[in-house]
Amino acid sequence: MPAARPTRRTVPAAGDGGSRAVRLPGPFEQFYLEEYASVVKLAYALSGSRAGAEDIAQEAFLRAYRDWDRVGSYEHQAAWVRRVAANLATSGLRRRLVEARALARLAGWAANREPALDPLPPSNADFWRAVRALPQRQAQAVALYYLEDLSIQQTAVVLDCAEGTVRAHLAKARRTLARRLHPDAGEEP
Amino acid sequence: MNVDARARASARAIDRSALRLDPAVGLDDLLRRHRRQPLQRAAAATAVAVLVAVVALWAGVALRGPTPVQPTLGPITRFRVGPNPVSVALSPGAAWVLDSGDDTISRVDPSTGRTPEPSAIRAYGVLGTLIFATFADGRLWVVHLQEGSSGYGISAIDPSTGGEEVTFSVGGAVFEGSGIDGDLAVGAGAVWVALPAGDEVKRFDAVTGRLRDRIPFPRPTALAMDDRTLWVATADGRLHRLDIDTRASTVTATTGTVTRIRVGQGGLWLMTLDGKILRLDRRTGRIVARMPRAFKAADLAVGAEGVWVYDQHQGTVLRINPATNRVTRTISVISQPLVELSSHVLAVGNGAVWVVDKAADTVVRVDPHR
Repeated sequence: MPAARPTRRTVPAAGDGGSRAVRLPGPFEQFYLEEYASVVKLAYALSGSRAGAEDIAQEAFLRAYRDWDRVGSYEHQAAWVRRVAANLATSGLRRRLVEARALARLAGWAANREPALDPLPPSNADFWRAVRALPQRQAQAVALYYLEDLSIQQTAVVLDCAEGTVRAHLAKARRTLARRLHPDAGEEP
Repeated sequence: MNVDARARASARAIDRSALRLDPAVGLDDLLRRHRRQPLQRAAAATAVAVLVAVVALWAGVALRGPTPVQPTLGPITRFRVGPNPVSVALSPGAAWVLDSGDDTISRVDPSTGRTPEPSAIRAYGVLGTLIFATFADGRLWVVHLQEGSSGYGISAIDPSTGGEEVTFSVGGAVFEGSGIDGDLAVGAGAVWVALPAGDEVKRFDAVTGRLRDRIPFPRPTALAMDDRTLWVATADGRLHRLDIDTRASTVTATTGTVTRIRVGQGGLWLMTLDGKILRLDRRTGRIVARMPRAFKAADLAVGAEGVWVYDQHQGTVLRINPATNRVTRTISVISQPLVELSSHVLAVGNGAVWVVDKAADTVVRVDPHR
């Protein structure tokens, strides 16, 4: 995830000597192009759906775009869109996918479009399937920490929780994954 | 390989899988989707304004002063429910709405005739992601993704107490999100579940939730109980009649892929994946009428209040007269229609038609006689 962006871009308003600030439009397109691929991958890991991952990412960015006056001013825009995508991917996923896909299909935008994501090798697919079977917050923490290669601190920002909570989620997740993926091995420390 | 190493290897696999991803393609789609919003918002605002004015006049606010404590129900009454409602089911005296935004169930009591405050709505938030619900044999049956797993489960809730009586895993996917979804039917002491991906219909004991039988059908998509007959639609467009005593199955009609089967009003009513409504003879299982294509159905409900269809394009509910098989009423109820392949947003019962308005986080009660 890139470094946090400037909180707000402002210019002085004409005729008031610069005492009042007027916001410039946020660079949404640039933000989208920089972050889209990472958000799709995060959604893929947490949803397991190649076609659905793009829908989820689209929905997350669409929410950001609709509310860009506010979201564009956030210090952690990238974290915000990841949080939305992670929540969409792990909660109420399938119904929202139907809505998003049906909207796209019926509007003729994405008819018969092949997913841009390739299938995963079986062992990697098994790993992410086991992650998706974890409680929601643990799954999100694992995906952000490993897939996005975020630090504990950055993961905590995305999940909007304390760093200690992220550590606890990761520790529990590792133990559960070790048990499920390597039942014959000893427990992970 | 330990978990840490496997996690990093699996993360790299996802990176490799996304090499063909082109963000620029998606940006065009997104901007186009956004441009649709102002019109939808304007339509929604107008509809809400008109509705508020009508309700205000009707309730006597404008003419008689403050709102009465318990006003009479109007022709159209809206009840606020939880976030992102997805399904409504009716028990005697109550409407139950699944709120997928926070995975709670709202219980709406229409007898007060007013929208309950959120704090007055009882919520049950223990089941996991909620998919849809139906009411049968005195219990509310809720299909949900089971918490902490990727499997689907069904829970029976006692409507008088709100208590969860039994929860069981169905061992497959009921809701695929592709439009070819499964279904649930309750009757003859059993819960019947169509699992398209498993090519089977499973029968569970309605009291214990134990699996009692597995009946092979190729991609079953819809079910309905009709006395001792289970109607099963399969994705190849065939309608099967299963005698639950003998397990004898016969194909009675070829209909196109069916997503709803409803029994009542002197017929067997089917909704297809592409939004058509068919009427069949319950005795023979043969098609007797095809409804005129003036709408695109996304849900179908049949009860004492008539045959009702939710038209996903217009955000309207339509009444079909069983005597003529023609649409006799069209009522606009949805502030911002959500286009779906199929949904569980419509129910009839308790003397009314109920429809979920997803965009407004409300459930709408329509009096069919006014």
